[in-house]
Amino acid sequence: MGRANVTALIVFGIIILVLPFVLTSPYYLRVMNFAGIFSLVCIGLSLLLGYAGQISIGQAGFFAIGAYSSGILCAAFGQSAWVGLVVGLVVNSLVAFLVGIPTLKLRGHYLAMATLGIGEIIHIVALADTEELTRLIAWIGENAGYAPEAVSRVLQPYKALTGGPSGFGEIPTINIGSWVVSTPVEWFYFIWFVVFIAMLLSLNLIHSRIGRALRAIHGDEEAARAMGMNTLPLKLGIFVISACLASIAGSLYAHYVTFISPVTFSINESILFVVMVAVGGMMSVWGALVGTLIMTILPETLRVFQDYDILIYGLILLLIMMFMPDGVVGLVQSFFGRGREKTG
Amino acid sequence: MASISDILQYVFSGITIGAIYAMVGLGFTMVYNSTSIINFAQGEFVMLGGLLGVTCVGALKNMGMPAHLAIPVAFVFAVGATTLAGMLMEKVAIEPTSRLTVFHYGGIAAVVAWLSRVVLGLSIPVCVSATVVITAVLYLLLRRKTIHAMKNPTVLQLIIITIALSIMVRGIAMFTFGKDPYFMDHFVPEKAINVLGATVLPQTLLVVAVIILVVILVGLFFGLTLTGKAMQACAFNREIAKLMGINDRWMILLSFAMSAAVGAVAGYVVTPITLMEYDRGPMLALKGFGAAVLGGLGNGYGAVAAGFILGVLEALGAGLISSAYKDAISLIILLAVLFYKPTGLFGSAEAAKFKEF
Repeated sequence: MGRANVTALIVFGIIILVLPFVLTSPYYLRVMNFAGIFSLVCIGLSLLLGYAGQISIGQAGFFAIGAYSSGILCAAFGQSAWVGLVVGLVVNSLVAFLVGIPTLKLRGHYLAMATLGIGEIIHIVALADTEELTRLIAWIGENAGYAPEAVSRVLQPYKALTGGPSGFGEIPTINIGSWVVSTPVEWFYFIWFVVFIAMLLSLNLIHSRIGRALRAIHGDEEAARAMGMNTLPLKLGIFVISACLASIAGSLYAHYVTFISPVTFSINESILFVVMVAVGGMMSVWGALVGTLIMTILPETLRVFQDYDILIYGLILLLIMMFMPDGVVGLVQSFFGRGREKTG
Repeated sequence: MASISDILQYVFSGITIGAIYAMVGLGFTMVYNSTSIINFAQGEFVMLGGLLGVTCVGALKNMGMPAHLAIPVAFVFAVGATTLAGMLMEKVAIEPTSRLTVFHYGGIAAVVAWLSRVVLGLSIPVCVSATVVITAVLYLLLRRKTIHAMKNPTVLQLIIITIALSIMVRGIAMFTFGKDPYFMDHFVPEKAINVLGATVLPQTLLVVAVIILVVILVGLFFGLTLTGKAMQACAFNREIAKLMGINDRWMILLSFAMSAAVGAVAGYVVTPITLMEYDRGPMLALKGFGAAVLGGLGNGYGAVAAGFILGVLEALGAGLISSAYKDAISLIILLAVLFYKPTGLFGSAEAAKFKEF
C-alpha cells in the first residue's frame, strides 16, 4: 500500500476520532455525516472512474436501490436494519452485474449515456407511484394473455410501496447488538468507521494485481487485451463493487435520515457524484474523500449569500476545474513534487 | 385500444417535442465534433433564446411596434445575444490560456460589480469605483504571471466546466427573468388544423419548417463554404487540420457560436407552444444528449432524426402506456439500441473510437 498511504490512513483515523470533540454543534456533525455517506458512493465511483477509466452517471440509482431496500424492508415489513442492508447489497450486485454486461461494452459518451439512462429509469420507478408500476405490469400481463383479475390479485400487495413522489418515512434507526445508533455523535462515529473501512479496502484493492490491471485498462484497453487480459470481468467486478458501496451508503442514508423520497436520487445527484470525484482529483481515492467534503460543505457555507448561492457555487466549481485540472488532491501532490503519473 | 386519430394526435405532439430535442442534439454534435466534449450548457441556450425572445417581443410591443415586425426583430436579438453568450463561454472557460485575457478581466469586473451592487447593496458610485480599483489591482498583480488555465484539459474536466457554466447561466436567468414560466403569443393564427381527426396547431408546422430550414442551412454551410469544410477537417483530425493551416481555436469558437444560435432558434420558436422557464435547460440537455447518442455522436443528421424519434416515442409512450413512465420507455428503447448497436443508429465505429474520455 505504500508508506504515504499508511500514514494518511492513520492521520485520517485520528481525525475521525478527534473531530466530534472539536465540532460540538449538531449542525456541523450532521453536515459531516452526510459528507461521510456521500463519500462512500464517491469512493466507489473513484475506483470505477479514476482507476478503471469507466464513467458512470447512474450511481444515484444504486444509491436509491440501497436506500429503498432498507427503507421498505424496515418500515413496511419490520425487518432488522441488517436484513435491509444485505438485501440492498444483493439486489444492487445483481442489477449492476446484469446491467453491466451489455453496458460496459460501450465506451466514452455512449457509456455515460447508458449509465445515465439506467440511473434515471431507477429514479422514475421510485418516483412514479408503485401503483403506476403495477398498472404498467398489469398492462403487459393483460396483453400477454393473462386474465385481468389474476394479474391484479397478484399485484395487490405491492400497491403504493414506495410512496411515489412524496416518499415515505418512519424508517427505524440502525442498531449493533444492544447499541442503538441515535445521537449525531454516534452516527458520526458509525458512518465514518464504515468510510474508514471502505478506504482501507479500496487502497488495498488498487495496490493489488487487480488494481494494476484496472490502471492498464484505463491506459489503453486494447493494449491490455492484447496482453491477454480479459477486461470485461474486471470492469464488471469494479462496477459491482462501486454499486455495492453506493448501496451501503443508501442504506445508511435511509436509517440516518429516517425518510426517503425520490428527489434525493435524481440525475442531478448522479452528476454531483461525478463532480465530487473530479473536484477532489480522479488520480486517487483520497480525491473522492476530499472532493465530497468540499462539495458537501461548500453549499452550506454559501447559505449566507441566500438566493445567490447557486451562482457562487457555479463560479467556484468553474474556477476549481479551470485551475486545478487534477483536482484538489492533485494540486497538493504536485506541491510535494509528486508527478501526474504517480497515483495514490 | 386507441384509435388512429388518437395515435396521430400523439405523433403530432411528439413531433413538437422532438423538434426541440433534434435542435439540442444538433447543437451538441457541432461542439462535440470540434472539441469531443458534451456541452451541458446546450439546454441553457434554448432557455435563453426563449426567455430573451419573450422579453424582447413584450418590450417592443409596449413601445408600439406591430407584432409582425416585433417577432423578427426579437428573433434577431434573442439569437444574437445567445450566440454572444456561447462565444463568451468558450473564450473565458474553454480556451486554454497562459495569461489572463481581456475576457477574464471583464468576467472579474462583472463579478465584483455584481457582488458589490446586488449582494452587498452598495451605492452605484461606490460599486463602480470598487470594481475599477479591484480589477486594476488584480491586473497589475497578475499581468506578468503565467497561470496555465486549461492546459491539456481532459474531456471530463471540460464537461464539468460546461456543467458549472450551465449552473451559472441558470442562476443569472433566475435573477433576471424570475422563476415563473413565460407565455408568448403564437406567431401564426392559433386556429387548429384538422388532419384525419387529429388537430395540429399552425405554430407546430412553423416549428417543423424552421427546423428543417436550419438543418438545410447548416448542411449547406458544411458542404459548400470553405469555413464549413475547415470545421469538418478539424472534426476529423484536429492535429492534421492545424498542420494544414486551419485556425483550430477559431473553429472551436465558431462551433460554440453556431450551437448557441441553433439552440436559441429552437427556444424562440417553441416557446409559444411549450412555454419557457429558467430551469428548463438541464432536462433539454439530457434529452438532446440522448438524441445525439442515439443518432450516433458526430452525425448531425443522425441527431436530428433521433431527436424526432425520441420525441414521438415519448408521446406515444405517454399516451398509450403510462405518462409517469414515458421517459423510462424512451430510455429503455435508447438503451436497447445502444446495446444492439454500440455506436448509435447512424454512427460509425471508427468515429466512436477516436473520441474517448
